[in-house]
Parts: sequence; C-alpha cells; structure tokens
Amino acid sequence: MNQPRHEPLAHLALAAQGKGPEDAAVVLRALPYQPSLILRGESDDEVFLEAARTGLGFDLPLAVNHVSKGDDVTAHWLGPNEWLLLGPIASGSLSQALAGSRHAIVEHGEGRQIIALSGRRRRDVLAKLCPLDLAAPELAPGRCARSILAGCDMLLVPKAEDAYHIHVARSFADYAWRSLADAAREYLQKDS
Amino acid sequence: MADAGPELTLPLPIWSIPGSGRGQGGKAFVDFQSDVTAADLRLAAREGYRSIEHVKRYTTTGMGTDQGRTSNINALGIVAAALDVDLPQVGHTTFRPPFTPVTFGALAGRRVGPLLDPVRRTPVHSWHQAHGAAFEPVGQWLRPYYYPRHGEDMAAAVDREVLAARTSLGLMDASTLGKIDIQGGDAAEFLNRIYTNGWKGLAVGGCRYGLMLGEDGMVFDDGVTARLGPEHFHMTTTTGNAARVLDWLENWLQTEWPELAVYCTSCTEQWAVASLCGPNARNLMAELCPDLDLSPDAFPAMTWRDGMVAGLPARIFRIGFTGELSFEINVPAGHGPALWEAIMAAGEKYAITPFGTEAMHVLRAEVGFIMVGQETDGTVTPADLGLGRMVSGRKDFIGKRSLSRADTARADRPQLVGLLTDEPDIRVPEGAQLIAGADPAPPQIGIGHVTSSYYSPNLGRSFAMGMLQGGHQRHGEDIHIAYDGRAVRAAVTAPRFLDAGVRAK
Repeated sequence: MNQPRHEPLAHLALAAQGKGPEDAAVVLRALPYQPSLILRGESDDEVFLEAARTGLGFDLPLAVNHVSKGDDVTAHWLGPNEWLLLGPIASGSLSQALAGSRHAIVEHGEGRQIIALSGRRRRDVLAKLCPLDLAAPELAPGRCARSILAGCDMLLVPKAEDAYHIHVARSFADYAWRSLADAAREYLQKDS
Repeated sequence: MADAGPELTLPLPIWSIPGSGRGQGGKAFVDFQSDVTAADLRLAAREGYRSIEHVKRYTTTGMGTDQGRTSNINALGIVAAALDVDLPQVGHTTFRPPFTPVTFGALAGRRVGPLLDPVRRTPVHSWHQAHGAAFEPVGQWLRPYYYPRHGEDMAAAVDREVLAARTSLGLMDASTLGKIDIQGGDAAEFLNRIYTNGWKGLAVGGCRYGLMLGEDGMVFDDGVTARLGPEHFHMTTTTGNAARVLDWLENWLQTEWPELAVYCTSCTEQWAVASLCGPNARNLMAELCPDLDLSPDAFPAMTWRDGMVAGLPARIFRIGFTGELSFEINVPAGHGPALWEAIMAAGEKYAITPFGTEAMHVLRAEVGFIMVGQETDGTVTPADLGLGRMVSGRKDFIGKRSLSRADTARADRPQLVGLLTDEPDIRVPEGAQLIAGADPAPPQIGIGHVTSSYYSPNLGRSFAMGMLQGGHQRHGEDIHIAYDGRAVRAAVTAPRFLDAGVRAK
C-alpha cells in the first residue's frame, strides 16, 4: 500500500491553481480521500443496533436523514437499512462486533469524492444545481440528504462550519466539480 | 362633447370571409396549429357550447404552442357572431406559458457544451486521454473506443488491437462494468431466483456466468458473478444496465421476497478493473504477482483469488470477454492508474496493446459471445441465443413460466446465427434486413436482421451475427442481406468463428 492513491480530481491540478481568497463569495475545495463504509442492517433489529453500537461506540442515527458522530467516525442515515460510515473505521473490528447479526459491510471510500462548498453565496450556487429546498430546517447541520446535483447522484451534508460537503461518485467528480465551478462564476466575477 | 371633431370611423372587423357559393368556399382555417376551421367553431356553438373555455376544449382552438396568439382573436369573433353576443362577453381563454417565445438558451440553462450531460470518467481516464484514445460514450461513461497511432485510421487501429490481443497481449479498461455487492444468508437462494442457472453449488472462489430474464422470459442482462464467501457474492452487470439491475434486484427484495436476508449494494465505483488477455497474459501475471500460483490447476478459468499485483492489493478474476487467456484485475479505484502503468511497463516486452470497445466487440463476436442490447432487444430468449443450456430445469427463476408460452417456444422464432457474406470485403451494416431471395426489389418479407457486423483481421474477412427465423436449423443454407440497394448472398453458420475453449485455459 505504499503506492500513492490517485485522487479523482487529480487531472484538474487544483493545487497548482492556487487558493483563492478565503473570504471569496464561493469557495470550492476537493477534499482528500477519506475511508468510508456502507453499513446495511435493519432499523428495527435490536441485535443489529446493539452490535453496531458496540462496534462504533455510538448509536446509529435512526431518524430519516440524520447524522450521528463518534470520535472519528460519522454515521449518515441513507435509508431505513443503510448508513454511510465516514472516517477511519477498521472494517474488521466492526464486522467482528456485528458477527452475530444480520448485516452487510461494503467498502466505499475509493468510489467517493467529497467537495466542500463554502462562502456566503454557497446556497445560491447549490440552488442552481439541486432541487432541494436548501433553506428548510431539515437541511441544518446534523442532517444529510440524498439528492441530485446537476444530474449526478449526491449526498448533501450541511456542516456546522458554514459549508456543504457534497459527496459524489468518483466517476462523476469531474462533471460535478465543473458544474459547481460554472454555477459559482457569476458570484466570483461580482467580487473582483 | 358638442364640438367633437370629425367622427372617427372604426374599421369594421371581418372575422370570417364567406365563400362565394356552395362547394367553392373551401375550408376557412382559423387555428393554424390545430387545424380548426370557422365551421368547427360554428358547430361548437350549434352544439350548445357557450363558455369559450368549453369551445376551446371541444375544438382545440388556441390549444397549440402559441396558445392562440395567431388565431384566437378571429376565433373569438366567429364564436361571438355565432352566439350573437358582443366580443367582450365571450371573453378569452387562459393562456398557459410558454405563450411568448422562449429561447432554447433559457430552457437549456448551463447544460450546454461540456456540461450538456454528466460524463463519467474511469479511474484511468487521464491515461487514456494522454495516450490519444478516441472515446465512445457508453451511457454516461466515456470509454476508450480505440487508440489510434500516428497516421492510423480507426479500421487500422482496431485491426492492430485485435491482433495483439489474439497473438500476444491486450489490456482493456473494464472499470465501467456494473458491480453489485450481494451479502446475506439467502444470497445464493436470491441469485437462484434472479438468474436462469443454478448458484447454490458454486464454490467460494468460483465465478459463474449468468443470464437474467424479465418476467416475459426475455434476456434482460448478463454477467459474471463470483462467490466471495458462503454468504457473499460479487455480481457484475453490463455497463449500460448497472443502475437498472440494482433497481431490479431491490424491487424484488423489497416487494416480493422481503423474507430473504439479502443486501445489494452498488460497488461499481470502488474498483478499477484492468482486463488483461492474450497468450502472454499468464507470463505477465507471473511477473506482476510472484506470490500467486497461476498454474491452470491452481487458478483455473472461472475462479478468482486475492493477491498482490504490482504491489497493490487486488482481487483477480480468471474471466474475460475475448475468448483468450484472461485475468481481470480489480484494485481499489485510487490504485487504478498505478496498476495500469505497472501493467503497461511490464508488458512492453510482449508489445502489450491497450484496446478499446471496438476491438473488444470484434474479439467477443469472433468467439460468439453475445452483447446484451446488441444481440438482444427485449424480445430474445436464452434459447433464441443458443444458450438454452443456461436455463435450469430444476428450479424456479424470474421468467421461467414465460419460456413455455406457445409463442416463446415455437421453432421458427428469430434465432442467433453467424453470417458470412460471399463478398468478404463487405461489412454489412448492423440492422440490415435478412431476406430470402436474391432480388432485393420491394415488397420483401424480412426473415431477420444483422445484430453485429465487423471485420476480423484473424479471419481475414468480414463476419456478422444476426437473428434469423428458425436460424438454428438453417446452418449451411444461404440467405441474402439487403445492402446498398442489392442483395448480398451470405452463408448461415454457427455464431462462432474462432474456437475460444482452448485459448482461454
């Protein structure tokens, strides 16, 4: 595993483009690889939930579109039997904890690109590309939502630090990035 | 008001000009978008329609995309006269947007040029681009179509790629194949119901080719599925059907078989897949993964092993789509470019040749492998394809009942055959009609059509596959193919042009 991991947006050479001003109206950042797993199990299966708690050290979120956090790992509700676990989890120890219960664990980090969208016009940028009501209280930090970004499946995660984390599949990363950059253009021009 | 100026003469509105006599007036069209005439409007009035909204719905006047902007005032005038009321009393219909011109730009928004539609890139896309690949859209994916060298046209490039894969070593990016992780105590039972063939006997470490049917018994998708553990499978689907298959599986699990303990999770994006094939494939693999016993006995075709390839953790499948000795190497997607570079570097001594989708098509057709969506079109059963042996008689599966319907079982259904034209340089177009006689003049009764057609540098001639009525019984006969205004004679053969079995061991 000494080989460097190739990032989905490496071809854009984003680092070489330099950082824009931190106070720009829109700031886009391609976040580096983060390990993640998809965890499957039933919301009404006490054995599974208890085993997951043991393996993770915290409770899986059971309410629709909720996020719950441990020390390093965040669990995102994706469906009544599906969660995204983001962070450094040893899938081995988790599957050991879950061994006696009906479940599935699927490695997912390699197939995922997370794009951070911040700046005071971030919501305007996203609103152009996504059908969700971004002002709704359901999209406060601590929540997440699966939706569409410019025709690509996405998981939208509003963060407390005035940013959205946008998860897209690796193959869509280039298109999603270009769509976001295009949608941000008008706000960046006004600033300059 | 006493000294008002000269009296203003308003023009007299004429809503309809009567014809000069019976049979001479012709039709007086009012609404040019919906072909509504003055007579239609008067008829509506005679039939008792009083509200202009009802007249609109009855006659369709003003219902075109212009919402009556070119016609309504005339229509209202005619209706007012027919009802003997003033025009304002008739009122007007509701205009529904867009009734003023809207530019295509407003409708398209920013989805133009490179943002027209999502483009999916494989983990190795940048390498393909840097090495001059021509790309082919496959669904939303961009796949390398062929890799022209300097001065080469497409035909020359594809011939070179095909020959390399048959004579030494070829490499294809197969990352776009759909991949579905299937886990649970009932996973094998689930696959047994989804696929036409049996899955319970598949050993851990083994792979099996499967056909999925719709409830109508027609082939819906195919692919190789591997058993990773007693309750764990890795399914592959065709590139274009990946999302549809996952939806299909979920639909059956959620609505029909909720009692089955099975989870299906897409893992298409998690893996980069390099498909290595050709007589030198094992030699190269021996160099890239020295820790693995690659002998045919230890690692036979249709099995998989975990191993390190070029220092990268990999899952290696002894499967392929060319009929050659093949290894399909799966690594975590982020290692895709490193794997590809390592294979290309080590393969140089074998003149390793990256090949695109067109060479893949030629290679698979030479050995008679079907392509879902090409040989199949939603009306083709496994038996039609000559794959009746894939259909288990000992278990139930989706589509089974439909296979015994009279129409599905009749002998003269279109069936897959090989076609070799008398003129070996002619590559008939895919979709060309098969006809019985040598005279192409209409009327003709089609007896089938061409589904795949290529030039094979291995055969030194063109070849084709097609669906021919009762084709399985017609090997050795001659038929004709309508081509360029004439009928080209072609021999009907088995749909296999090179022997795959020996090569792929």
